[in-house]
Amino acid sequence: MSEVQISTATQIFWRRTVQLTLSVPVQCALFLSLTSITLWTLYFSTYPPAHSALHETRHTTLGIGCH
Amino acid sequence: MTIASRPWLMGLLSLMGVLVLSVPAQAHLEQEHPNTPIDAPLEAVQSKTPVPAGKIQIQLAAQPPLSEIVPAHQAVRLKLETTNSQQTPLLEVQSAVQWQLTLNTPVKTPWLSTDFPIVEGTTLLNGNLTSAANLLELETILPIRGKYNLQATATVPETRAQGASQVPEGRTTQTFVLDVPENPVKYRNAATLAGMLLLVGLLGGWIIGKPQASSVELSQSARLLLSGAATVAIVALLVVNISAESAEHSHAEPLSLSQTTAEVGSLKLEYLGDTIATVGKLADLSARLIDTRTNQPLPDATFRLQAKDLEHGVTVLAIAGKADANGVFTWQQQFFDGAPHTLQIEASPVNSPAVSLAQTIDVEGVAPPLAVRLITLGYMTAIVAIGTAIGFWAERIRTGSRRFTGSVKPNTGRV
Repeated sequence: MSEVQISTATQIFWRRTVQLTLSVPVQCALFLSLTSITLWTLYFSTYPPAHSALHETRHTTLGIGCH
Repeated sequence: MTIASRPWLMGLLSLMGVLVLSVPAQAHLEQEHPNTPIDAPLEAVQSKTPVPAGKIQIQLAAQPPLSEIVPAHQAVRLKLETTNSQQTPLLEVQSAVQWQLTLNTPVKTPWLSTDFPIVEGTTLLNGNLTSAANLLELETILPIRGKYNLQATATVPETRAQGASQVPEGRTTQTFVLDVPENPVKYRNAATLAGMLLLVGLLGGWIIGKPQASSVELSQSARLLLSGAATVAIVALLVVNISAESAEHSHAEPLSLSQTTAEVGSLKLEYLGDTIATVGKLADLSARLIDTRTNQPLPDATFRLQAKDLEHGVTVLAIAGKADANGVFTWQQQFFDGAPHTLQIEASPVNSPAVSLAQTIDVEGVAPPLAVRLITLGYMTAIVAIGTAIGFWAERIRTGSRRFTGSVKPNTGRV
């Protein structure tokens, strides 16, 4: 395989990766995942700093269980 | 930086800003609790079970009325009184009435959890004690919303009841339903949060729905960089949260506490109950008063028990009664807050000074079930998703683009 062919294959692979990453479904999935994990950390995580900082907030919001 | 790359950055900054601002906004709203004083007027609680005519009855009253209390924040005084079938107090019963009380918490609500899901569907208190007259008073905190079931059995000594004009039977069991409303602040906080999540979703959908300028290299690089940063943030938060969950299941050893005793003269008050309690389970809070000269318990002593949450400084239980035939005062209570508590126990024997002791009890909190937390997270994510869909479609309609499912053309470097 010549250098030109390798370069073209790399370019195609890169182009497809970028296309996939910036596609609407992937962008939506990334956005919703980031929002969900942030909400989990704020309202449901047992990670002590997050739990202590928002303990009272958790106890005064409907549907959120704490301990 | 080109103009096409700015909406992305501006959008991301706005998202972060809304999320950060939502937390103090929530914290500000949480401060308001419309507390009704405990000496507010009494309200009768109707019995769920019909009592046959001629039998003694139990009348229950709550102070303040149950509809006015805020769960987990405000104590309620429950007054139980034995009456005849005409609901007249059995005033002729001047000696001890035996009580058996069990208070069960509301059933589990996994689809809309309370703030103490571990407490749902459990027993809050259970006790066998003797009141000095026909009235028993109990002060406790009801931690969650819903319908509590109080099963009360009263046994009146027959020898005393025989002298009454209408002789009732000596024993009755009744069930009462205690309906506690939700803290109203929670509804407002939930509505505020839902509004914020919808806003976050709209903003995200609007940014994602914007037609991309494929010829701008920086815009594409910036978007790729942001996507990479988002992926890294997701992975980092996942690692932190999974580690925290693992640590929660193998948490630290509870405090090592010993049982306390107190002596005044020849009287010795001993705490016989648990020093470590767990949320969701009943803890035994027994005590005994003995005469050290004879080493025998004093059965006529009246015990007063008060439990206080040391973290919040709130009295979670206050009860008084006499010991059983073995001279042991027994009470089982569930502590709903995973924090150290202190018990004040005072024993007052007949014709002798009172003896009191303080006992610290460590309460282990239990994390809510994963499924309950995931259900609420699902509701929140659904609100964001709905906002995203609306924002996306609105932006696409506004710009007249028909590439609803389209993707961005990458910059191939060709001119």
